[in-house]
Amino acid sequence: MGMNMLLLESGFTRWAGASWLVIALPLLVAAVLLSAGALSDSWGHWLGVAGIAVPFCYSILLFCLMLSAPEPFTSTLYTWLSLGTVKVGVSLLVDQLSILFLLLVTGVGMLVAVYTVGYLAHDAGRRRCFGYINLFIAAMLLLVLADNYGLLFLGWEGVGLASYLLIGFWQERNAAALAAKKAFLMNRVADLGLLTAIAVLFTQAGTLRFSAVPAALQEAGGPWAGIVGVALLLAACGKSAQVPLQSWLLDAMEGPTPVSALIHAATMVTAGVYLMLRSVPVYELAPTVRVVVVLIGVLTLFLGAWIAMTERNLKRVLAGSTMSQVGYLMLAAGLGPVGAVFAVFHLLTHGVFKADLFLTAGAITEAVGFNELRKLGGLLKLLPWTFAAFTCGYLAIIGVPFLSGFYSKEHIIAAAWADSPLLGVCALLGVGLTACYMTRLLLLLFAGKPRWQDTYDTDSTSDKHDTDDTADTEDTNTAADVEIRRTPASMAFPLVVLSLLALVGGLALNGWLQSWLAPVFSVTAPATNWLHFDWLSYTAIGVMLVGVLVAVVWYRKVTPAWFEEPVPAIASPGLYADIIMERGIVAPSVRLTSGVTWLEQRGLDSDAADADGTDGLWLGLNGVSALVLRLQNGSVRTYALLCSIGVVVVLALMLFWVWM
Amino acid sequence: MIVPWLTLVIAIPLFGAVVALPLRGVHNRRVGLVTSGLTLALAIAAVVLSRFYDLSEQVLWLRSVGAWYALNIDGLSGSLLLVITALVVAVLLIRSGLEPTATATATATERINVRPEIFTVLVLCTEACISAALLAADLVLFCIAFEMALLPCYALVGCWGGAKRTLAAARFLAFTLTSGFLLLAGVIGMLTAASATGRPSTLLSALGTVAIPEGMGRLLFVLFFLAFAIKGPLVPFHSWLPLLAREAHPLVTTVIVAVVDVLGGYGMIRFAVGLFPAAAAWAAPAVLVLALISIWYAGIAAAGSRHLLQFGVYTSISHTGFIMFGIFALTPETLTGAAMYLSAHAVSVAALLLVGTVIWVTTGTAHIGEFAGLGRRLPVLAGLFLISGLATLALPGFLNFAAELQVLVGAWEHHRVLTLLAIGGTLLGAVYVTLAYQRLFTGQPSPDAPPLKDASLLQRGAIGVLLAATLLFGCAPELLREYVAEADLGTAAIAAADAADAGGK
Amino acid sequence: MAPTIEYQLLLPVIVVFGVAVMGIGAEALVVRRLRFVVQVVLTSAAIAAALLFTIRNWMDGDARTIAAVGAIAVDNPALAAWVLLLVGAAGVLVVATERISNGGISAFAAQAAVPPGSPEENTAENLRAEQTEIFPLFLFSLSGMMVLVAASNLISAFVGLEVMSLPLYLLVGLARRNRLLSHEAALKYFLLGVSASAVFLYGMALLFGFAGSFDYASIATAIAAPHSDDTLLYLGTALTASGLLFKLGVFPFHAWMPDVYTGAPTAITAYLATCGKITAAYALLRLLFVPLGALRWSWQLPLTVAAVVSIAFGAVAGLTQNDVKRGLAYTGIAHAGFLLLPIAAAATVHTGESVSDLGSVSVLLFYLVAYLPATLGTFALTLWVHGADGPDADLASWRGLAYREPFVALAMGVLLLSLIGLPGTGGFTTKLLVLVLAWRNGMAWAVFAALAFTLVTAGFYFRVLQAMFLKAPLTACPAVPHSKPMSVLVVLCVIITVYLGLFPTQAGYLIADMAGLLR
Repeated sequence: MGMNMLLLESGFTRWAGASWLVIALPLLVAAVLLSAGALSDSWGHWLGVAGIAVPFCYSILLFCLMLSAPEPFTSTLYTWLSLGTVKVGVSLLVDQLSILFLLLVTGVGMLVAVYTVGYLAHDAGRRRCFGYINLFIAAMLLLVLADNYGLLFLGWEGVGLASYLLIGFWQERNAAALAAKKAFLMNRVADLGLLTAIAVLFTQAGTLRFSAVPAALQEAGGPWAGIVGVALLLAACGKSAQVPLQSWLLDAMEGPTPVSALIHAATMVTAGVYLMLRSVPVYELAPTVRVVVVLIGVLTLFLGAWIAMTERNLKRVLAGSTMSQVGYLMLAAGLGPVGAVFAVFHLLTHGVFKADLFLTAGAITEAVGFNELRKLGGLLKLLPWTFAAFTCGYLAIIGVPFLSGFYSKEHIIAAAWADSPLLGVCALLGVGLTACYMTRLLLLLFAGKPRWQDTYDTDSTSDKHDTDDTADTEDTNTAADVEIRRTPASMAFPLVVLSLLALVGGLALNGWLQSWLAPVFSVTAPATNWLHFDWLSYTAIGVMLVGVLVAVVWYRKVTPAWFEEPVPAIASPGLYADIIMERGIVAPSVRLTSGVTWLEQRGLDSDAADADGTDGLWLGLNGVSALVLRLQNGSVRTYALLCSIGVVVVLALMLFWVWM
Repeated sequence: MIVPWLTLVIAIPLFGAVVALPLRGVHNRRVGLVTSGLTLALAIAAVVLSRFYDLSEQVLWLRSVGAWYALNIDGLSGSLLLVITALVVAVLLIRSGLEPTATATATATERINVRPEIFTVLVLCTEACISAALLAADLVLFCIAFEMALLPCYALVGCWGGAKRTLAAARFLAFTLTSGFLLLAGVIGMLTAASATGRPSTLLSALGTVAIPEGMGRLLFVLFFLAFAIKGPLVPFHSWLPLLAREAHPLVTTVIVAVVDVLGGYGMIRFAVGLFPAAAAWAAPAVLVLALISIWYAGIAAAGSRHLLQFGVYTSISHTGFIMFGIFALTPETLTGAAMYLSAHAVSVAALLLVGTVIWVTTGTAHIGEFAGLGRRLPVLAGLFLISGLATLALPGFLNFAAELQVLVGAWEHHRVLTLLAIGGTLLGAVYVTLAYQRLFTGQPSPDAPPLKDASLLQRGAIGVLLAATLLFGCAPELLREYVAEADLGTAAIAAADAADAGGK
Repeated sequence: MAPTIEYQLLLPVIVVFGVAVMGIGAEALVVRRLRFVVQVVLTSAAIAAALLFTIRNWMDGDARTIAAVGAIAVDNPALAAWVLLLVGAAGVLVVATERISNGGISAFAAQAAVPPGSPEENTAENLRAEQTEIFPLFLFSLSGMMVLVAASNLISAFVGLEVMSLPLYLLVGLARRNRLLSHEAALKYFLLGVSASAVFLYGMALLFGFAGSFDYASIATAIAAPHSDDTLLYLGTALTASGLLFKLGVFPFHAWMPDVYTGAPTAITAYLATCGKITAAYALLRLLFVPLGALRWSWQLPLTVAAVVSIAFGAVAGLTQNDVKRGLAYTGIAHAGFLLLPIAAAATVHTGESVSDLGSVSVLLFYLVAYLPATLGTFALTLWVHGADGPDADLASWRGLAYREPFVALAMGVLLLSLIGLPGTGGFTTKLLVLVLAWRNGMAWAVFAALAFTLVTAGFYFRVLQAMFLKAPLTACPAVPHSKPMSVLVVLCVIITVYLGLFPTQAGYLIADMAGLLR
């Protein structure tokens, strides 16, 4: 036993050393796909899938090796940049936390890639999309494997760029271009926070490595830990679409659905939470900031739920739900090391079932061609398999016992309750709301009869963009002839896998995860076996059932007319967030820009050319020159007078010293 | 050293210019390319050799004021020399794809039948002057090279360009000549101070030891600062550049912004801060505010500008503000960062302007509309524009980010609030790049638009190589940082700033 | 005991004066057809011989004394001045004998005495008559200049001044085209010139009254000796200095220059602009440094103010000129100001100049060495490039010159750059020295003012450059004639200018040694 342990031992270090390959391979594939141009269209997508599959296999191998010898391994390749004494090294840390993220990102990534092969089958830019996906995977893995804030920032911005490219994938559509720009700018606003944090860490702590930062901040003392905490929180809010910077996530749905599944549900939005997890010791030093994190988590939880309740577009409902679930993660991460472990647990399970829900949404859009809830409905009979996959995700997310959502969320509620009863109540309320909006979505999608048969005008844009249909606003499929396109195999396989994982994931991780993450957060979170129910889990189940009942009562019989009623202002999705941003930030900056441009334009056209077109220098002095030239009037008398005055002046100036 | 490497780096372009003058058509362009390629190779050789041998040359030029023909190469001038020689090769490569006739830009009222071949000659002369200025280790020689660069640029702007090119040339001349004469005044003041103590010498090594009274030091600093602020350009003195961008031929704008204006930042580090450390520390807060104004004002102007080349020029002004911010934060990191930013900014703005040139010539207009939908019609150019835009907004992975990180992180120590504003300034970069990309490349192209020829292989290669270099050094900036830091820039100024700071606290 | 005259030292002046007299003889005896050739040969021989003798004197180092019983100081600056004058005169001679540019006839009036517009004038014109008395007049004024430059006695200075000025008044009036303008210029120059000489004479009398002697050395000793009342001294200095300032064309006394420069034939304008200024500068330098050196702190201020104001006036006035010759005249005033700066800086000359030290005399000499080719070349080129009929030259005929005559445009460009003082040309090196000298002697404000207004002079110069290089010709311009000697002169001027700009080291050594003024 010892021998192969040793073998495994050395095997792990040898393999972990090659962790940079995980980043380099997808980057290389992305470069090949993006620069190869049209000639790689036929095999491009399979290369893209391979670019993610290989790192996935590598992560599994690494995970297995790590199971037996669980201690972190850091491989330093070279010094990226030395800022004075601080050396920002390109060093990759493979520890228990990052291996989990490695698995989640590459796993879900591979499944989404396979799904995209089918989803974008007849889209000309598929190769480009795979290039961007590989770029995203590389950046996300760099972010996850970095062992210091400097390198993390590199991956952080790479992820922002990839999401910009993917949201704006169909850049012919103005809405997609605007959404991409909005997402990128809001991420950049958040990145200023991370940049400030790095600046403070450099000057006050003198180090950027995760392991060394808490001790250095402790020794630096003063308000610095708090400032770093706030800065990191700003960064996390931007990336994970938390309250102040959350409106970009709704518009991000303009991108292709598998992209939304991968980036805006499973991986990218969790990057902010990952940053929180890595900085848990920093927040230990600044308890007040920890409260703010929790507060933001709760706020986003309720805002996300509200959006999911009021949205009328399938993908935007799921986006609202993601925002709310990530609110849970922030709340958990803000509860200290114990909460962090449960945050990871919920993060993994949420990544799986949210991806499953998004992919089913993609399947629905692929089948009928639009994703407006107003026109959908009655899909039960038409798409049975999709219904089955959706229900697995549905049951998992609302927290039905024994499924993944229940276990991960139950721990968070327990931890929240332990922290403060009010927080516990909020968490419970969240469970109820989740149940309510998910049931509403289920009913609107699958119950009753298909509403698209009654509607006559088709105004909204269809999410699915067929390259062959010309204008994107006009939607040709009138009510009658919506034929249901069968979901191709490449889209079905990931759905099946994800549905199974959504069901069984929670059970697998429940007991094991707490012990696995103990060394990372240096705390052993309380592990409860899968059958253990206490009063809290019963109340949670009760609240969940109430939520379902309420939704069933409200949305049992929904007719198209119901959709026509005017929506009260308060119920508008996004709770005026967009309006505030529009009027508060965008409008004044547009006015400022036009003011500056006017000033510059005036500066450009100011000097007119000379009379005879020889537009010379110092045009301003022409007046003075004319004035001076009047002295040269050509009469000798004036010249003689000038000379005599000259003599007198020379004499006067000479005598000036004598009188001094 | 037997072989005068540094003089060769200056002499070869001049020699090439003379050879290329009488030639016609493709021969002229070929000579231009060969010469600039040779100069680039020489520059690389000089940089490599300078690590092992002392390449400095010194010949007495004018005894009565102690002026020398002295050349030397160190981290700062070496890196910049590599950048400008590479950029000239790129410009000449792109130029061979398109003729710099006036028609490409606008209908000049009276067209002068200047031979297009003169473009190569003038660009090579400019390159020679700029390399001479960079390599000059003597204040007078720097002043000579600084002002001699004015003439070829004036001719470049005046010969090819739009209807009001002579107006743009006149304004460019007014500003640059004033900057030259301000520098001359500073040099004369410096010579006076130097020649007060026995045998005068204007070698930089000798000037360092000259004790200048505080009042005079501040006066001379202001003169040097104004000269380089106009050349930079910083905001209050920048109104010549946007006019030039609109009126001059786009390649000329690229040469002036990317190759010539490097002297502004370089001179600021080497002379303004180098020779007058106490005055630099005294003026630092005021200059930082001016730099911030420059960053924000030019950034907003870039966001609002509707002309492709003016957009590139405003981004350059905003980055010059950033470089000046780095210089006058007066810490070792920020000075090295500013020095690195000089070369990074030159390359990224050159790439942006070259893409702008190709787009202007291909589509025939430089107007930035709304959702012009060029992305569908010019995919490769869209990609190149996006990458150079990302380099300009200092996305990590590009050299600009490594330099910017040093500037921001280094400046945090002394100037907290100002650094926060500067960090806000970086956000502006993202705003104007994404805005420009969205206005030019996204959206549905009008169905009846004629098919456009995308970037030729030559153009892709030239711009691609520049971006690849930025990316390569972006991923491993330590190489460049060590090389630049060797020149231990402005150590006296840093000491003076710390002293002032300690005094202030 | 009989006064000894060091003939060998004074040979250059004697030769020039002698040949001038012979010229008058030739004027009377030689047949009209041959007269032009004979006069040209005589004049060039005189200049060449004088140059030869001067250089010979220069070679044997110890031939430096106050010659001719204290009248003429043959010392290093004097020899240098003579060389400059003779070279300048040679250049002017080439310009004067240029005939191809206005239809194969000399630029001077057919018959000076004939009133303009009279029938006699028409006959003279049709006969394509040429008069050649300009050459003896030219040599007379040259000898006067050589005496004035080296005078070490007020009397000999005044004689030199008069012998120089009177022929010039005549020469100015001899232009062939628009003779009325030329006559008016001559009259103005005469009236103002004579009044200036009168002022100089009155100043001489007062100085004699104070010192009891005309000799510079004794005046210096008189000032040094304890004396009760020195009003006579200050009055005398002011008046004599003003007399010479007039000749230099510094601001308060500049008024005649623009009209005379445009009125006079181009050759004479070049002569005035080069040799005229060299003589005035050196005479002023010698007058203020040798006898009146002790009053340094009194005359320094007026001269500095005059210098700065004339740079300012020249620059601003020249900005809006459309006629190149008139523009060069105004910017010439600015250059007069620059010539005055080293004198005003009054780094009083002691006999041996320490090599590294910047002295007024060596800096002035260096500036003149660079100023001579630039001015001579530009005026020569204005002779070539001028409107078919209108005033001598306006920018219209310069437009697009680079595309018709690339070499002429290039030459004019380099010379104009030297006049601005841009690097790579002699102008830059010498302006740098002048301004460093000025700043070292406590005139920092003058340096800033000078630089600012030099920037303004660049306004006019660049309008000419712009017209040549960046503008297309509007109207059809006459072809530019190419005559051999003038081309050689212009090329020489360009070569000297670029040489001084790029490799001034040797010139620096040579000129630094030429700075010792004999007391």
